[in-house]
Amino acid sequence: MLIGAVLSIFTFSLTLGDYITPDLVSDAKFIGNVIYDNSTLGNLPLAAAYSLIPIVIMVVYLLAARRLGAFESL
Amino acid sequence: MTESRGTRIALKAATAFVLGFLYLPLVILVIYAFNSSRIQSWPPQGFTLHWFGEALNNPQVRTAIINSLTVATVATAVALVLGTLAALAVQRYSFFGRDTISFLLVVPIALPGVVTGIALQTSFVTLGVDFGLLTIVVGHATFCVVIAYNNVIARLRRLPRSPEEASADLGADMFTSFRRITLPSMGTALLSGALLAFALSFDEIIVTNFTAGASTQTVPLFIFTAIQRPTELPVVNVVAFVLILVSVIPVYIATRISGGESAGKL
Repeated sequence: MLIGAVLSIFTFSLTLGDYITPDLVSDAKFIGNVIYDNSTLGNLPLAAAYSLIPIVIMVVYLLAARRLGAFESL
Repeated sequence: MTESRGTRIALKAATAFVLGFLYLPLVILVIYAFNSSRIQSWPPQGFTLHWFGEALNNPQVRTAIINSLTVATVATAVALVLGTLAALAVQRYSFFGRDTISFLLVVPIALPGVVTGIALQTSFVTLGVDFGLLTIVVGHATFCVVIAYNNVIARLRRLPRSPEEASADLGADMFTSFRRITLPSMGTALLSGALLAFALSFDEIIVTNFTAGASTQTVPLFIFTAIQRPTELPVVNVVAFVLILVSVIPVYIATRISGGESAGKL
């Protein structure tokens, strides 16, 4: 169970930030697309501000996993 | 465990569906790599090895392959050293702030690639570092370290401490004990970690896209640019086919070596 919690961190994180796959197989925009598109357009401050969203999500996720004791089973 | 006939059939169907979902796109790609027509339409026109020759003679493809191999090798080496040291520190010693350190170690690794990528890109620009192979290596090392770390720490947990203690009792200093006792018993964990890290680095694009700069190409970057030009699609299919082979072989060897111990774990 705890191993599952640890592994879910990495799969969730991989999907959360992906911008290549959405670009290739869909027209929909995801968090990753907003960050990448704005950084290539030169709007770095917006991209940086936007990247705080996945950072906050992942830190909360990791803190929750640590409370469950998931790191000892890593 | 006994299942009813209906359950068995349903399980078989579900397995077939999942495997098909995973492998059908790969099969289609491989078929198109041998298709004699430049246009991708079903059914394939005929069998040819022409695109393999074209891919081999394409200087862009060659440079991309050499770059990818170089980056994967260096990133793997860096990851093995740092990952092993971190695992030894966290597993073998208790020190003030150990839990904080291990948490701080995990956070950047667990962040999505797009965040790692943009953070590195911004930092390199700020520090005035030129983009190139070195910056790609740094980007790849961030996620390769965790592979090495996970493999080594899983092994360290299972290793008995007694041989090391005996070695210390017999007068060996810390480095001699490490070199002659600990390191040999971690050998296969290091090897499987290295193979996985290499494979991951070889097909990484999310971070690479940010840290490569305009003039350096790796194999995945080549595919991503060339895929937007329809005339280059056959060459892309061939390169992608080769990429699948290069990535699958080390992963297969790694799972065989570690006997499933931790190889499937990111």
